[in-house]
Amino acid sequence: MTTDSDRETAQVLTRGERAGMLWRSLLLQSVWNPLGMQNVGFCFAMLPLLRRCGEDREAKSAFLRRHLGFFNTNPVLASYVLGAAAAQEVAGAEASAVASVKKGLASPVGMAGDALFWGALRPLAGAVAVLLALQGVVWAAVALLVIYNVPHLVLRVRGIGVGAVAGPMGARELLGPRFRGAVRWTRALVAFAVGLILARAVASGGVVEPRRVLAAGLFFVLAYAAARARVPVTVVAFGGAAAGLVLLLTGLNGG
Amino acid sequence: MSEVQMIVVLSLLGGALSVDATAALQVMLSQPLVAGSIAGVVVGDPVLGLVVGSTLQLIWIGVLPVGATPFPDGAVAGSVGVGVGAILAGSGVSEGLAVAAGTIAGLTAGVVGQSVTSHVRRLNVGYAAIAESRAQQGDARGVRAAVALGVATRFVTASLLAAALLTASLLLRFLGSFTVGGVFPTVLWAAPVAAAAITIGGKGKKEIWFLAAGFAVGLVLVVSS
Repeated sequence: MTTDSDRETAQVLTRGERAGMLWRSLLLQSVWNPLGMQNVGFCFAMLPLLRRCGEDREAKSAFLRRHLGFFNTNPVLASYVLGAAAAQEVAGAEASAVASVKKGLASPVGMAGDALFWGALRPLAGAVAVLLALQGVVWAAVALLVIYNVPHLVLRVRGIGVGAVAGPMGARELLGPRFRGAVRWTRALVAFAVGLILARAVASGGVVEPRRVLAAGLFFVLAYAAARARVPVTVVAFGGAAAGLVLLLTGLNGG
Repeated sequence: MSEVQMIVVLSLLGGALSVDATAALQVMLSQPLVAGSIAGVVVGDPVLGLVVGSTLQLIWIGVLPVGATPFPDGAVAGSVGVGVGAILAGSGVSEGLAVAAGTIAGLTAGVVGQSVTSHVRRLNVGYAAIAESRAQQGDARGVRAAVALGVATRFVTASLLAAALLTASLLLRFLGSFTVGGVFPTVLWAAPVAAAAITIGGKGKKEIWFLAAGFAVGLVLVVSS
């Protein structure tokens, strides 16, 4: 089935160019470095358009150098920037215009993508999979991959198309109240799922053990304070292990 | 499968899945529960993989890549954690202790992996320079080479890290370092508590109600089952 938006995209980018940019975008962070960050990966993802420069060495060099400039955003939603930059290239825009589109989009798109994918969907996929694992579901990891990757791959594909047709305006759909609402509700689901997991942790064999609840409550207060004070969670986890050691050595853990 | 074969397979597994974390894909194959589950199948103990993987997944549930700080390496953590657990279980310690020691080994591997990631990123500066110097001549091969080098470096360094940690755990077993009975299981029930504190401790004030609702529903389910 070919939709209107497919046809519009096809006018800007060929199917081969879109497919090439899509798989290359999966390597956006392959050469992540402190100086240019995602610069090499971005340039790599733009390579399908290099052919449009013809055989002119100067034009090819200018194309490569302008896409090797500093770039950093969320790796999934980078597709919106790639699409918009491609549209500029195809339209023969000035180098400075291409650069300003990349620079202008990188930060808002990055914040939206980090909030949705790192801050909400990754924890949700993890929490749901852990719940399944607690039920003894052996393929819990498959659930994690599906929950995360359906929205991931949809937005990755969509971003290139939307960016190519609408240019920088395409990223607007990431900045509206609907997108923020989706992030908020996903985070709420994460908290709900963690609550379910916590209940399983303090109750064993269908019985809530008061001593476990007390110990968990004490540790929760400490861990909450540590989280507020931005102590790294791994330190908190090691702290929990150390506390266990102390309890054991003083004979207070009661087995 | 001998222990040496197991270490080789798990190291390559950790290295390959670790590529997903930054270098390529980001389809979450590098998450500890995914790596742990696969490693569990490799060592012939899927439950061990689920438990170690789930615990690490919970501990790092709220970790964000702030600025240029990378995530803990969940792929190396999952494969090393399960490997250490399997090595201990195979040498006769109780299942619970093997699981707990594996989890702590996984935590350690994740943090060390995080710092290895930072070092790899400095190597990437050199690869980027290759891409840039070739680009001056209108030659895109430098860009392609840098991408290949970046992915390969990630795979090799993560595999070596996993191999080093798994080998070290064999040595530690000879030293009898894991014989303090009953200590390690503490970290296991602590993981959900830490996850709960971190989920609401970051920013969301309203989320505490959702957490409380989930906790209440979960209690009803657990007690009524």
